[in-house]
Amino acid sequence: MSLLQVKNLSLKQGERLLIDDLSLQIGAGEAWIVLGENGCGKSTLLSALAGWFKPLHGQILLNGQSLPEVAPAQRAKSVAWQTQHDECPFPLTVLEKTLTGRHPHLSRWEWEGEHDLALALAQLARLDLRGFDKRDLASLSGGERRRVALATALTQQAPLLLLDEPLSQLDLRHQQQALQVLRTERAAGRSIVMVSHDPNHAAQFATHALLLFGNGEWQAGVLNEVLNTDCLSKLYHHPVSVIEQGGMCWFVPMH
Amino acid sequence: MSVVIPAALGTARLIPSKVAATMGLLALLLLLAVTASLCFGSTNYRPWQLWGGADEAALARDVVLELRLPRTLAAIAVGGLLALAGTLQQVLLRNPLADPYILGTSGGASVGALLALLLGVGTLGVNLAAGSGALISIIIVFLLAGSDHSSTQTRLLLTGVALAAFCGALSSLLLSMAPDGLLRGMIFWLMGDLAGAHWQSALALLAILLVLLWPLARELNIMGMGSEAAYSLGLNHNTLRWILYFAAALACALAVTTAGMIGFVGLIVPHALRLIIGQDLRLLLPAAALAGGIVLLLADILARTLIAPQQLPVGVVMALLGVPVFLYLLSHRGRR
Repeated sequence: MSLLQVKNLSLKQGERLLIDDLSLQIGAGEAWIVLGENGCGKSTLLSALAGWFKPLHGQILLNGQSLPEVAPAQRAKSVAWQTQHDECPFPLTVLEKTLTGRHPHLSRWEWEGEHDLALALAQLARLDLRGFDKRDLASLSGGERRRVALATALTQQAPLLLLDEPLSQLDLRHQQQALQVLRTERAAGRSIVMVSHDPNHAAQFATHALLLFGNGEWQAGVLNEVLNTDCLSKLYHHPVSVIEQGGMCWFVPMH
Repeated sequence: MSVVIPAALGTARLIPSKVAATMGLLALLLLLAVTASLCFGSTNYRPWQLWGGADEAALARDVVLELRLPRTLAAIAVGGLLALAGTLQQVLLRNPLADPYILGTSGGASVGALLALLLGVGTLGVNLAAGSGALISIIIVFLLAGSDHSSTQTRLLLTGVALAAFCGALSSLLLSMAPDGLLRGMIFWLMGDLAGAHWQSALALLAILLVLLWPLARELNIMGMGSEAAYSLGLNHNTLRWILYFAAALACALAVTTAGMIGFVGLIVPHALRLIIGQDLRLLLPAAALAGGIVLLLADILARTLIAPQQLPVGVVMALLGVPVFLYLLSHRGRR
């Protein structure tokens, strides 16, 4: 049984039909990249998969159970959702923010213990945030905050990670580092759905791709079936060509 | 915040021993403030005169035990309730500038209380009406401006100010309609004064709210981070939101029916505490309740002694202290 099943899902934002009749299955150890133009419904799809956005039609099953029927505490143990915006109005340290990922695993009277602390610090270290734990979140740069948010999602230790542009403000080295972390998580059996604006991220961690054309149309499948110059040119309404180097394919926009 | 806050004084997270140490320190400060409150006032009686000669002891007992002690307990209870209400509203609206006085919650409570007084219902009716007024004003602010997450949050503050002004006008209307016999008692609600206040139910509610809310503190921490984050971490945020509406309205209503309109405790106390002990509500919630009591008690000691033997309403002292702090915070946020 797949971890997440999407059946005939349609999403509408205001008057716009973003996704029409989407069906797919996400199994354990699969990593999906979601690509599309601005405003095509990538984030809306992710929030629907998290159970937050109510779909127009269709059904989402988490471990075979309809998502709205899954108990909130149980859902939080199965799905971690990193949203695009993570502003916090109150002063919060990096470690405090990261430790919120442990909330679903703690009972009401429990305090974060040594295990939770070690887990949170380990996730921060993986994303090159060692020594940041006492820093105020508001004092970090945008890219650093994105990495803290990713560390928080990882600390939640959920089998399914829904990541909304986790690499968007990261520099080159930290993007590569985060992609390596995602590869490791996938190899450990976690499933990932990641929204991105760079089709070249796909080959570095993904097994599958979902293209959203913004008019309800979509295309989903194994990476090398979906990710080609024709599809990407159609997706971005701009000619895309491919450069092969060292056995890797790099998609670049044409002039 | 424009200033980088050394959150939680260098510790990266809250540990139980820090909660115990901070609460112990605050309890000690409270004890000192209570001692000062029993010693100073508009007259020169001191507690140790209780054990003096017979005539002196009788007068000292009247002043210290019959006047200063109830007033002290009322200040602790009302200050605690207001600071608690402020902290809860700040979590609810995700805005550190929220305060029951600024957002019109106290105004709503006082309109309810005045209306009940005018209709001549009993004490319970006055309390219920004040509570309903506070609840309605909180919900109005939340519905109209709860989604304002801009960095300046102008809409939220403007909505609150407009609502407070509206409640002020309604209060004036009710006062102008009131018969002379009721007028004196009604004007009390607009002043904010602790003289002759009944502390029993306020202190009881403060204790009850703390006992009920503290177990929810970790969830409230996450709720303050945003509804999507709260949802994804498995919180039942709608239920929590209603708990907060009711708890903040109750706390504010009982503070108003006990001591009238006193502003800025709910703003200054949590704000100052966040700078020192951090944001974690497992400590901030009980600490704000204690520190709110301390601050209002100190303000009341000033109110009694500044122009002794005359007394100022404590609401005036709080506003004189609070408005400059509020304006300072507002200007700092604007420059972000």
